[in-house]
Formats: sequence, C-alpha cells, structure tokens
Amino acid sequence: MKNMQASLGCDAGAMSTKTVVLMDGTVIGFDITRNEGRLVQAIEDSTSRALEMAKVTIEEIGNVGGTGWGERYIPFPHLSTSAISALARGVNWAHPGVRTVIDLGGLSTTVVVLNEDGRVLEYRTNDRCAAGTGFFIEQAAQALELGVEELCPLAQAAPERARISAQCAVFGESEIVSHLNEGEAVSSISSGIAYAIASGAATMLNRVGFEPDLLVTGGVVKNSSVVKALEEIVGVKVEEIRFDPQELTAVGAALLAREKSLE
Amino acid sequence: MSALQELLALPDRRDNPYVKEWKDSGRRIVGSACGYVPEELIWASGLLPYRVECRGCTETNLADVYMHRFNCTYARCILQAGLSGEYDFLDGFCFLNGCEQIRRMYEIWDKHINTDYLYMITVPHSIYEGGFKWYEEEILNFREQLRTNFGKRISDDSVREAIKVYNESRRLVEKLYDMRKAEDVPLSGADAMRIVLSAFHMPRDRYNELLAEALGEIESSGEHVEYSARLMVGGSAMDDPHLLEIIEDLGGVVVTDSLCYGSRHFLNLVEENGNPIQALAKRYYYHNPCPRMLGEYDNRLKFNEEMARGADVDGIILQKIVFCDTHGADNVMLTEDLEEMGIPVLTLEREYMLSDIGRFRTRIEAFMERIARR
Repeated sequence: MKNMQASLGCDAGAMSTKTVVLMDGTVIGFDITRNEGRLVQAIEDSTSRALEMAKVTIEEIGNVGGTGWGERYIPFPHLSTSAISALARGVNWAHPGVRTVIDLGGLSTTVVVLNEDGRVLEYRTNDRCAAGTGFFIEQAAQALELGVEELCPLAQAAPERARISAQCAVFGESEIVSHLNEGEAVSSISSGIAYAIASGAATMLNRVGFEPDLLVTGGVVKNSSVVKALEEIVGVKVEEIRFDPQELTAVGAALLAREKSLE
Repeated sequence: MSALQELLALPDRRDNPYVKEWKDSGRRIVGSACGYVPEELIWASGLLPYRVECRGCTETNLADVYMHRFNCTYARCILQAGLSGEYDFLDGFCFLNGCEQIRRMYEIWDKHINTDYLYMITVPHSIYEGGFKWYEEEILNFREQLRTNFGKRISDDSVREAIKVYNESRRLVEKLYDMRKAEDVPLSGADAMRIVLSAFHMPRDRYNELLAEALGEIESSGEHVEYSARLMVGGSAMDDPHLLEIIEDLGGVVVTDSLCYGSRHFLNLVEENGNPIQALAKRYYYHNPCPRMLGEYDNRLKFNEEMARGADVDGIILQKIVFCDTHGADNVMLTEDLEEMGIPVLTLEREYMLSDIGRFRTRIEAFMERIARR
C-alpha cells in the first residue's frame, strides 16, 4: 500500500526544474536541476534525486502535483496546478503572515497577493520581456565574465552604482560592455545590475498595489543585493525566507495535490 | 557670469532659478508637451510657458507601473518626472496629440498627478483647409480655458505683443544657426543646443536679451571648433546635449538639425499683422511638419535636404527613440532618399535616457570614417 503521507511536487520552470518530497508537513527531499534544453530528462533526474534524498521510492508517493512552464512534459501522472496557485499555497504554508510575494524566476516575474487563507486575491506577470529576470542576471554575469554567484558579494562591496537602464535584456548586455569599456568598476556595474532588477520588481509590485508582509522568491533572490535594493526602493522590509527561494512553488504543488486527494 | 555662460548652464526642471524666481513672485507656470502648442498664448496670459524636458532621467520605475516597456522612454521619462514630483511647480500643463505615446500619457497624468489644470489641444493629422479651421478653433478654446482658469482676459494686443517676443527669439536663434554654417564653426553642436533649449525654460523676453548678448560674445571670441566632419542631426524628440557630445567627441561637429526641439521649433515666423490668433494658427499648423502629419513626407524630405545643404554637412545622423513609430517610418524613407541625393545618412536607435553609449559610439565612429573630410 502506498504511504499516503508522502507527496511529491514538481515545478518544471523555464530554466530549471525543482522537485520536493513532503512527509507529514516536512520537506524530506528537494532538488534543483538545470533544464539545459532537455526538459523531460531534467524532470526525471530532478525527481529521482529528490526521492533519493527523501529515501522514498516513487511507489511510496501518495500524491503528485505538477506545475510550471514545462508542466505538461512531466512524464508521470500528476495533478496539474497553475504556478500562481502553487506559489501562493507554498508561501502561505511556509510564511502564513505573507500577503504579497514576488517571484523572480528564470524568464518571468510574478506578483501574487494572497489573503490569510492563502487564497490568491490578485496576481500579475511581467510583459513579454526578459529584462529583470534570472535570464538577465545570467547574461549580465556572462558579460562581466563572472559566475552568477559572484555578482552579489561584489555588488554589496561596491562604493558606487553604475547606471543600467535595462530596458531590454539583450541590449542590457551591451550596456554592461559599454560600462566595462568606459573603465567602470565591475563592482559598481554589479550593483547597478542588482538595482535595475530590483527597480523592475518594484514596478510590478506597485502595479498590483501590494501589502506587507512581503516575500521574494525565485532563483534571483540568491543574489541578496537585489533584495536589499528592492527594500530600498519600496521602503518595506522583505521577510527572511526560511526555505530555498526556488522551493516553494514545488511545495505548493505537492500540498495542493494532497489536499485535492482528501476532498 | 556672462550671458553666454548663463545660457550654456541650461537650467532644468529640478534646479531652475528662473522657475523659482517666477513662482516666488506669485506668478504661475504652464507646461507644454509639443512643438504644436502655441506658447505665445500662455505668455500672453502672464504665465510662463515651460516646454517639459526630462534630461538626466535615469530610470522609469514609477512610470512603468502605468506604461509598458513598449512605450517610448521619452513619454515614460516625462511621466516619471511628473510622478516623482519634479513637475509640481506646474500650475497647468498643455498636452497635444502630437503622437500616441504622449496622448496616452496625458490620460495617465490626468489620473495620477495633481496638476491644477490640464489641457489637450488636438491637431488633425493632415494638412487641409478644414484641418486648419479645426486647429484655429482649438487655439480659441485654449485661450478661453486659460482665461477661465487663470482669470486674465487675453486681448488681441497682448497676443500681438507675445508674438513679437517669440518672433524675436526665432530671429535670434536663426542667426545662431546661420553662424554655424560658416567654414569656421564658432561653437560645438552641444553648446548650440544648450543655448537653444534654454529658451524653453526661462522667461522669453529675458532669453532674448541673453541670446542677443551671447551671439555678440560668440562673434567676438573668434574661437572655432576643430572637426573632421560636419553633421546634421534629425529624428525623434531630443533635448539632451550629451548625445551631441558623444558625436562630437568622435571628431564631428553638429552644425544644424531638423529636430522639434531645434530648428523646427524656431524657423517659420508668425505674421505680426492682422488677426493674431489666425496668425498663430497659420504658423503652428503649417510650420515645417512633424512626421505626425500624413502626406507631408515630401516637405520633410525637402526640409531635411535644405537644412543639410545649407550648412554644408558631410552626413546626417537620424536618431530615433525605440518604439517611436512616427520617426521610425520617416527615418527609413529619408535615409533612402537622402543617400540617393548623395548625402550619407546614419540611422541610430536609442533610449531617451543615455545608456548603452558603447554601441552608439561604435556606429558613429564607423560613420565618421566614411564621411570624414580631413
């Protein structure tokens, strides 16, 4: 008999796949795998790694929830939910006091406003434009010949901030190269990049008309200078996230699948 | 400070001593958003007309809440300045349906920014007899609205006086353009632009005094700019001398333009006799047309050619702001036709705020190699 307590959530995102295994309200397995253009493979790899970490076999999973851009490519039966509902559910589970969450993902920015029950009151996603997304950060790091993880410490130590208008992710890169050629310090360019992304995020938040507590999720949060800049722009303290910032949508998908099965 | 230095200092919205002085003396200011707004009427009402600019705008995060990234950054930067309170000194603001981006921005301004009085002058998108009558009526309405809002009746005589003041600027600015036609160019295009733009941001009678004096200073200084090529700049709304500095740092000198913040605003005098409202309507409706006017391409081509030949340029840089539809279509046609006439043209796309200068510079450098005369 299947262990009805274990649930699996898979968030097949634009750039990476995130999988969690939940047992009795605790995350016992979690994995992030880059898609690298092979989505189905990434989903399979990510799932088996998360199961391995949880020391659970797929047969022992009671409920499976799937979400994200690549949800329809998940090659095993699952309950499909929208990334918005999954994010809201996951955030409400992890941070019940949060009323607004902004997810800075690989290719999209999503703002969700939720009530105390975790119900979605309002949501917005970005225009069809990659400026300010994870894709932009990766492009920017590449232009600076840095690893993505190197941007943040540099930005935090920067005495100055270069102006990056980042109206467009593609031309943002040539803007960065311009700064480099002008002799601008890499640290101040890194700081400019963080600010530009935060500024775009602030615009999305203001468009919705957000209320605290405010949480930021998604891969971009791993660059904490973006979060700092966002706090500076919107004048609101961002909640300290208690999980991996890329984890909660998958958690939400698992929870929703389990709750559906109990109805 | 000499008159020339004062004009070169180019005041902007954030720290403008003339605005401060005007307000401190209890007088009021009305902004204008397009070259088709007859500033003379505002001046004749005892108000200071202020053509809005957003030089130095670095981000559009407030404006982007209401406008999209596929709206032009000129409109978004003006909205940003409004939303961040930089235009709180305006008592009124006259918009015009010059282009769709500005026309849309008007509605957002109306909803989210507390300017006491907002106006929208609509101008038909083509030139014909009935269109002229429409525009004339719009000006009459505008005069009536100014009277109602600011409590001063605008007599024909006061409009005539205003026309004289503004014509005087036109003559002086034209003289500045004439001086730059010489083989020995007395000042950089960036400086000339600073001088011209100052007109929009200070009382016009004071500007005329300063400019007359400054022209004398320029003439008697005997200085001239070293250059490898003479250039004209055209295209989208452009009120930032830094852009010209980039061009001139690469050895070019900008000696003329076909810009709405430049020659197009100042050429074409207003008739000083007869019905002054009709004279204003005639001048503004029929002046060297913006690409917003349909069916006027041949006139724009002719105007660009005349300006280029008149200043003996080696090439033209036609720039446009990303998503500027009006100039976007025109620039392509102008490039084809001007090249055919033997005038080299470089087209450049840019954001309103200065960014991505490296890409800009590379292309201008290559163009300079093509056209340099020495």
